[in-house]
Amino acid sequence: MGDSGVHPDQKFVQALLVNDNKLIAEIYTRFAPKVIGYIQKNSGDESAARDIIQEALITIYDQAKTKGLTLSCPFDAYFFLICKRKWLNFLKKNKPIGVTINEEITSIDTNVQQQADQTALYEDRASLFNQMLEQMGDACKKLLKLSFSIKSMEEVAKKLDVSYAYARKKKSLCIGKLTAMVQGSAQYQTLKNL
Amino acid sequence: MDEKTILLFDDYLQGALSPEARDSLESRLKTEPELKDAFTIFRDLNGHLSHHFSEERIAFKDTLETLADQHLKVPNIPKKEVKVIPFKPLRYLVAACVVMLFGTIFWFQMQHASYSDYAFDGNIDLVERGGDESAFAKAEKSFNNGLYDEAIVHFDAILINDPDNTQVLFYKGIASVEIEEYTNAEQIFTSLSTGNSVFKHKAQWYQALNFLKQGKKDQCKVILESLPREAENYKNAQDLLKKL
Repeated sequence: MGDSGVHPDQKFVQALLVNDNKLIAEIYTRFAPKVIGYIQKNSGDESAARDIIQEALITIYDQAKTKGLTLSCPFDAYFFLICKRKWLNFLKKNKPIGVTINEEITSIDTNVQQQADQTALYEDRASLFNQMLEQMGDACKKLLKLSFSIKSMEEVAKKLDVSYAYARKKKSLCIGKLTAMVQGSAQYQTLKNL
Repeated sequence: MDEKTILLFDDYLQGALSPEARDSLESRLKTEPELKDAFTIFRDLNGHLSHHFSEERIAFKDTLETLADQHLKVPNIPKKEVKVIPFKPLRYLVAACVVMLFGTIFWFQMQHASYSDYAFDGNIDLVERGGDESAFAKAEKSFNNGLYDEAIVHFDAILINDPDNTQVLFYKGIASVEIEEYTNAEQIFTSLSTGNSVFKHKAQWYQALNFLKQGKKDQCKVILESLPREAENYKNAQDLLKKL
């Protein structure tokens, strides 16, 4: 993170955190058109732009919620760069033959880049967690999904018809197993060295 | 990582360790990079999962969908051609009376754009072979007999083992609307309509009906307007929109 202070646009991050409809709506009216324009110019349409915008906002929200996110640059530039990178990644993976990507060579503020890099790193880590969770055995996956959506372990134990102590211990062991899966994955080693 | 270490991490995060045990773990974390690494992942996974499955996150995604519908979608309404009709008073007076008569009858019908006109009226089919005693068979039987409370109990039993079963989730959503468990239905349809299953658009349609049944016409309209042309219920949605 840059050493500059908190940008006044932190209010938009805050709006996502507290589900402030009015300010979030402002993100759509003020900042989304630029993203839509960019995607439309680069082989996409409005519906593709919508998906990218939604994904970007969820990522920013997730990061802010779980790791904290202090914005030191304008939200507009940060949000646009995240959306642009997401779209370019999508195109690289799904590019129909003959489509060229108009990669503009414009100088981007280092601060904005750093902030977007941090978000990308967060997202890669979160998606690795999700990927590993999907690869777990059904019993652990089921227990973890239940434990974290119901919260009360007493209730989880009741639903699964096991004792509270067993459910709690098993939950920890499942997270332990997941930890080992993440730690042992090639992607984690790459992310760790970034 | 052995079982003892995992439980130690967990107790540490729960604040259940004695001060001595806590200090001892903290000093080990400073000197054992591999352990520190595992601890960081373990801690982050707890935070990640807790957030990932939270109701708050579902509500946030719901807000985003609603706002995107309001601000990103440009409705594709074909412009109607304007015809210039020569003014022939008597002829049109008669025509106007006829239109008014039918219009009034039609209007009364329109005013009752009710949930029951569009509600799910078929039978569901979850089991391939008859006579099965599985939760699938029980759920199917209860649902088709209109015993929605009972069906939901069986749906839940299936979903515990298979939380991503979108078909079961979808039917649970419909059953929830039937017994007026609107919030549950809303959550189910939101998650299905933001996903990529075959129930994506159907869930959107039933979400609209969920709002209709509650008398929340504005929310119903927003959802109907966002239903894409390729959706199976697109025509129904357009009919309903005209009535609302």
